[in-house]
Amino acid sequence: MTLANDAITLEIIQNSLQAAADEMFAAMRKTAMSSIIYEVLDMGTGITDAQGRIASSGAGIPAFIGVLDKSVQALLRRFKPEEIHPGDVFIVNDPFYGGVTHLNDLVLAMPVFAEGKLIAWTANIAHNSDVGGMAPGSLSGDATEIFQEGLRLPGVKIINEGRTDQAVMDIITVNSRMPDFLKGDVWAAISSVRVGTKRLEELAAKYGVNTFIHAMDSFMDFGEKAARAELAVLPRGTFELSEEQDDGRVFNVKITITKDEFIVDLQANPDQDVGPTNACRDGSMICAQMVFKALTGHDTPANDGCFRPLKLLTREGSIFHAKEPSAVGFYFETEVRAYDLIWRCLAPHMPELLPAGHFATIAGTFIGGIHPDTGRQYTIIEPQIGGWGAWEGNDGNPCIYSGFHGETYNTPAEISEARNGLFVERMELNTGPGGEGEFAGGRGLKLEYRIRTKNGFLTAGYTRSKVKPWPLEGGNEGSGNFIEVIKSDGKSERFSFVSGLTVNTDDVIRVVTSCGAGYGDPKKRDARKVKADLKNGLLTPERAKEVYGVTI
Amino acid sequence: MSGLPAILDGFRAEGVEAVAISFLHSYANTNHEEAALAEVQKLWPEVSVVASHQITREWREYERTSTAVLSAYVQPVAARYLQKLHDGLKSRGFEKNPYIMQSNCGVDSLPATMRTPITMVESGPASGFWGAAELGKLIREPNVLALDIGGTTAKCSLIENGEVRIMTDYWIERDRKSAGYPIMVPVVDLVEIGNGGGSIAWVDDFGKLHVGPQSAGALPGPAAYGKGGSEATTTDANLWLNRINRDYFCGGEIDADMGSAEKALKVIGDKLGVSANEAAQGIIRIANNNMVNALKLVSLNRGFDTRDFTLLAFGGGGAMHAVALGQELQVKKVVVPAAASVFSAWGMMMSDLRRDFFVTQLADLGKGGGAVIEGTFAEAEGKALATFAEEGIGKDKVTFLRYGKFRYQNQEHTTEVPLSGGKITDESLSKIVEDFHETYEREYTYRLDAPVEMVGIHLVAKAEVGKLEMRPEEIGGADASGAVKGRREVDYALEGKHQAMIYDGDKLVPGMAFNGPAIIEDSGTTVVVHPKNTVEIDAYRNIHINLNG
Repeated sequence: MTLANDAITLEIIQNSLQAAADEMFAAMRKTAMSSIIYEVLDMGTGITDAQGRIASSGAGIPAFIGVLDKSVQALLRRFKPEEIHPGDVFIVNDPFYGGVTHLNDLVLAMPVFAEGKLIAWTANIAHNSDVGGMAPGSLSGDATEIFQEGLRLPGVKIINEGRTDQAVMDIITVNSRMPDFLKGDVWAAISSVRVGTKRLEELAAKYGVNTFIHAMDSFMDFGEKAARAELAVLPRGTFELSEEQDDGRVFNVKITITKDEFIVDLQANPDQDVGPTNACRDGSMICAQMVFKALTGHDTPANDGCFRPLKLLTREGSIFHAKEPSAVGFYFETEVRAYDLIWRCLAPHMPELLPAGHFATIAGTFIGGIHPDTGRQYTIIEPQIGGWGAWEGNDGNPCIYSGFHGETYNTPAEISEARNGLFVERMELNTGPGGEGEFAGGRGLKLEYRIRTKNGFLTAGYTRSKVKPWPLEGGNEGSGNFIEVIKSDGKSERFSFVSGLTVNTDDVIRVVTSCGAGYGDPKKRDARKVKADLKNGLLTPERAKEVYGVTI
Repeated sequence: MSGLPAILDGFRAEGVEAVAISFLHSYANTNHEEAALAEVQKLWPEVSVVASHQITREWREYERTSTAVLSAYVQPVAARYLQKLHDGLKSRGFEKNPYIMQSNCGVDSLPATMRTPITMVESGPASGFWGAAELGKLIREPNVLALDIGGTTAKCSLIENGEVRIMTDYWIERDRKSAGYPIMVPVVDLVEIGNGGGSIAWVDDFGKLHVGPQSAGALPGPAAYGKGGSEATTTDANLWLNRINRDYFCGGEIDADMGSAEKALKVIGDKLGVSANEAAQGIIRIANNNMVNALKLVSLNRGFDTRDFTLLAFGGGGAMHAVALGQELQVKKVVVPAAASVFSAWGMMMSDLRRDFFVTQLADLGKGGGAVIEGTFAEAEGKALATFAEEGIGKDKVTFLRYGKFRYQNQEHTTEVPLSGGKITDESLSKIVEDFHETYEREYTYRLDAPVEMVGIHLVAKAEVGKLEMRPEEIGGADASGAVKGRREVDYALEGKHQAMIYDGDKLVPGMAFNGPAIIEDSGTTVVVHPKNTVEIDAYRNIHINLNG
């Protein structure tokens, strides 16, 4: 076969890896039971090579796809080659055993064999509604040890050469407060890894195992080449930033960019938390990977090769490299901080690549109780949308998910009301002050739920509440994220972190997310844009005069 | 309503031409939208206005609103166009009422289409896919993978047991980088990719070859058009490999500019470090792979085994690639219909007056569930009969097909199951549940021991409005050699170069048979027949290609 045809064959296999990951995603989405999976799409799918190196970008949110290779590598450390068979499906959720995130996120992985040889893995991850632990939904701000956050799965087989291990399935199921959901979601995940495995087996059968493996290897080399080409044109040097957090702690990052290395140093950071906001090292690595990828080729596929120039330094026992058995339930707010910290540290040096700060919280919101119409338990688990920062020449995007989350979707009010038995009283742009600039930050969200039954609960954890999204070049900072509960008697209280608060009939839960930060002096904003903002109801005439100096 | 005059004044001042009305929960209760619609029509009779419930009765406010807005957006121009068409036909003495092709594979009346013109959005492909379903029935191949390749895109759809699949989660302009816009109207289930004859081949910064989605269009068109196009397209590669006849390009209407084609292919080859010839082979292989992945999305991805399906290829470019794709997917056989390049027009002539009603209605499949479901169908059927009656079509002419959208309790997405066997009662529910489990397991590899619930109905109401009557010709004993117009060396990419017999498509008559490697040419289509294939012409002059391994 000629050289051109050979290269084309490799490319066809590489395209087909992506198609398989997409197919896995579609299968999982359509069969899942929890709205956090099927509606919000808080999930990811991907394919790794036999060594657990991510081979195709996969589908879903980047912070989740980045988990999969780490999980498979942990499984490979835990199981001997002779213990891994065709038809096996593994399950892991514990960050100290390759689960990376928190116990709610179940990772399923399936080895792919061809000609009797392990050639790849298919894997997926999704947030499950409840995996046991001390609080409904498994996440509690009061947790001090991982044991309180649910059932720990250190990497076990749930399917053994095609046969379901009923014991494992039963243990997982009875440990959940929502066993039917859990079972449905786990089966959705199993069907997804199986679909992917079938496709990869077909590919290997068609083109031969060696060609298949060669295609994966060369795809990673291509990823590395693309990343290095972009790295070579980034500004070089060492950049450092210390940033105060809402709770008064100070986080620090040092980034060194050389011709062929990108080193993120998170060592000078506080000790791990007694509460549940710890991140594991694998998770911190994902934060670094996401910013690195944004800087070195958002247009090229993401695979293991892309990250070869990246180095991460952490200190064991710190907030970004917590030790077993620390609690990790709200890991995501710490990781989104690390992600935003790296971004902020570099933004002033690469304004054409990185906009001003965005609302930068997952804004994980958990509401549950009894559905007034069906009498069944309901649980809302949702991240929130917010405003993005402005950059040279452009206003920020209003109301999309955080950069940590990527392509996720909010639930339609019509579905939320039917499913959860509450009223979605309001969902609009947050038009309060904040984020003004020559280029303005995008607007945040104002969302209100009115509760319809007694004895429901609210748990939420938002950061960037006191310390607000950071502007660039003299713009205004964003407005801050918070949640507010307005009791039926009119009394209200604001929170950024709240755990298991009881809510009753006619209480209103108001979610307010931040505007993105502005770029450039507001006084320089084009008056036509100010007028358009006024017409669109994004500004009041008073505010237009005060901040922009524009009088109508 | 007291605020409405001020809002409309604002719209007038802004030069608004069309208004969309969309309220929360109007899928369940249309009263408020109806009242607002009537008020707008009263206050501003000239403006184009549509309310979301007129288009869809399904939940999801974002999708429904997007649909209403896009419908309003096209309404003024569509209404003007349709009115002109109507007046023009009348003034030239056309006495009947024309029907307009719809995205659901049916036709609808002109006034109905003017009210919600967004339903035409995929009418072109829909007519082709309907044609594929009808032709499948005619030639006793009810399971069809239909492939339509034009100048800029390839579209495919799956037909099972003679039935097209109609869905309401259609998106426009959606791809990996763009969220696109949902249009919640009944559209034939199709996958579309940017790969057609005019798709441009390009090499990225890292030496990887891509084909499409950018297209050279009709102008400048492929390099070989000689109209200034300098970029290699799929058509240029097909010409270069002798798959398309250089001396009979576009039915002989264009002199193929092979110099330009070679230059364009050489640019690609140089970037890849190979010859123009190898570049052309690569372009064909990448284009084919893109199309195979699209065909898998409508078949294997949904649990259908392609070996049970016949690949029916049409459009200007379908037949050029069909055998390679069919071999990859191991389909039963490949059929290229007579007049493949204008097959969609034939499909239109075969369609019925058809309306699809989707209604969101949650129902448990327990005691009393039968009555709820039957009631929902009865209401929709009553509405359907009323709309047909307005057009003078009596009850006896209308037939219904019923589908239910089911899921396991707590799921969101549904699986559509046909409901045969007449009136739905509590007694018939267990059969429905079993049908759901079966359909679900085929698509997703497992079933659950969980309660099943209905989320909504899909009712198809059809009335025949006159179809072409197809008459088979006699199968004769004529030898295919009479249709041979020559012989040339053709490059089959992976299968190498072969001397292929060239047949004149217009001279092929029923009963003729021959073997590949061969090329069949007529003014609109080139059929590439690979080595080992055998070809037969059926009584309707369709070309049947057996792949033989």
